[in-house]
Amino acid sequence: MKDPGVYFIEGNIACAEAAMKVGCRFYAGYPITPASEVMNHLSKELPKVGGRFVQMEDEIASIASVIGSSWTGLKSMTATSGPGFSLMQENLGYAVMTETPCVIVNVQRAGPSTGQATKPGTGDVMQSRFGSQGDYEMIALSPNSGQEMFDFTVRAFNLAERYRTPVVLLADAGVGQMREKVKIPEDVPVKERKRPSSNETEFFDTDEEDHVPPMPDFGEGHELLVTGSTHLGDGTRDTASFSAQDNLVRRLVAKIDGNRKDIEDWEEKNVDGADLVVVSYGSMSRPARGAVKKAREKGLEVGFFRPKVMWPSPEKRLREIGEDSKVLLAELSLRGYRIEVERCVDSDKFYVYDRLNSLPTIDEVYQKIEEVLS
Amino acid sequence: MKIRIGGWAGQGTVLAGTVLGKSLSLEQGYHVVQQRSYSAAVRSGIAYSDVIADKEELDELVIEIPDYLLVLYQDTLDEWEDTARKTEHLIVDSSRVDRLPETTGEIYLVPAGQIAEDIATSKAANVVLLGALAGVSDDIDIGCLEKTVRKEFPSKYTDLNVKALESGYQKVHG
Repeated sequence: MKDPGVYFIEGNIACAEAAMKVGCRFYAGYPITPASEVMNHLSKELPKVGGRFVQMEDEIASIASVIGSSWTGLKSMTATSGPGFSLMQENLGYAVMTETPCVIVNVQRAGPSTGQATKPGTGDVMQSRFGSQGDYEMIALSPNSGQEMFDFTVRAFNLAERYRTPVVLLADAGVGQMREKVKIPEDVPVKERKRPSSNETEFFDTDEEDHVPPMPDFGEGHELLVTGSTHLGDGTRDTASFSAQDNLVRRLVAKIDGNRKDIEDWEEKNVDGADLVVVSYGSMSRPARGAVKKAREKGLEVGFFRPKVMWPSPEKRLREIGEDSKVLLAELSLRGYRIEVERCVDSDKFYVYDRLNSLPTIDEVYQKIEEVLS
Repeated sequence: MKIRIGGWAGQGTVLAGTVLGKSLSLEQGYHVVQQRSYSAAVRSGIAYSDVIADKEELDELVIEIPDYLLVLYQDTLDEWEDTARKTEHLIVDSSRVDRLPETTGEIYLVPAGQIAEDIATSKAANVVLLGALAGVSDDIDIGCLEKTVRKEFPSKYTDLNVKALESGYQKVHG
């Protein structure tokens, strides 16, 4: 683990450093471009801070192992890219259902399927929200710089612990493999999961307003069952009754949806009164932001909006923006965030700059802005 | 300031880009982004590294036409003929490159492979070209690069790389 200081490092390394800094002590994974640097770095560094590192046989086993280790009380993570993220979907749902805090880093690459392993893309945005079966809500963060790869990894762990849920760090090859200046601070904010008292019996139900029950560790002496089947407060399976399904699934959704205010985060500039607002995220948001700056220098009334948290989406703010302004979604994908933004904006005000394989220059995005406003 | 360092996989273009990026960022105080590009092949193929440095915060992450184009391999230069025609400063390893594009910019012929081999190993050709770059550009400080090389390489390779760096610098500046 690096000492506090300023470094010129890749986003993936910043992510790995942040994980150790916030207290991650277990990593299981399977290498895949363009996420392998996270794993490679932690394979060397995690044991030095007393953590455990395991290279698993595949991504299914990786996330299963991460879930198991989280139940021993360790902050746990894995990192992958599209093909591996697809394999993880079933167990991602299991982590949601068993309320297991963990962090899944997806350094997105150009898909579908094997696609172009070394090229960036953001086609997994909807998958990160809806990839597993059933009703649930997901938290996913989208960094756009080396520093945010560090900061958002810290936040991903804290949100996972706070809400007892899996959190996806939805990076892309652009930010994961780009080197920039990254400041590693002396201290980072650290949140810990709620712990039960010794006589607690409810680990999957709560009357608390935040909808988050306390979580014991394996071996602490509590009696409970951890299962992906619908269950009661102590974990007992109940695969038939209305009340068990209704109570559990509504709470799982409310746990995220009801705490949106605490979870949501975005960057916005010059949005109010703008003729056009450019919405963008991830590495694409850098040239998009540059294009907005250039447009304003030329006297165009253009604003910029960037969700830092993709899920839950800032839909209320998007609707407000869409009421007053045209919206141009700039993304490194054809279908990434499009449905989500499109549903919040009138169709006659909605424009897209989509791009595959590689980032555009600022000028290329700027030309689209001019075209929309002409 | 936009710099592209290109060659064949294994020639250390990414390492050279990293050294340059670190030096500009941590020693000279620029805002810097450095990216690498390589093919999905296990070995071979064009590999290159892009470094963009600016006094302002950077949102431009892509180089269309570099201000400085450093090339270590003929096939790479052939592939980039159009870019090479347009760049203002083309710095090539003339030990490995002899067919040059017509360009209105300056061309600097640095026998980097030969210079490196004379010092110790042709593998240090990437660092020789970095030195040449510092000789060509007033914005790139040779002292900062040397400091970075000393930090970046394992101690047993430090001296030869510093020598490689200085030789490249002298070749165009001396």
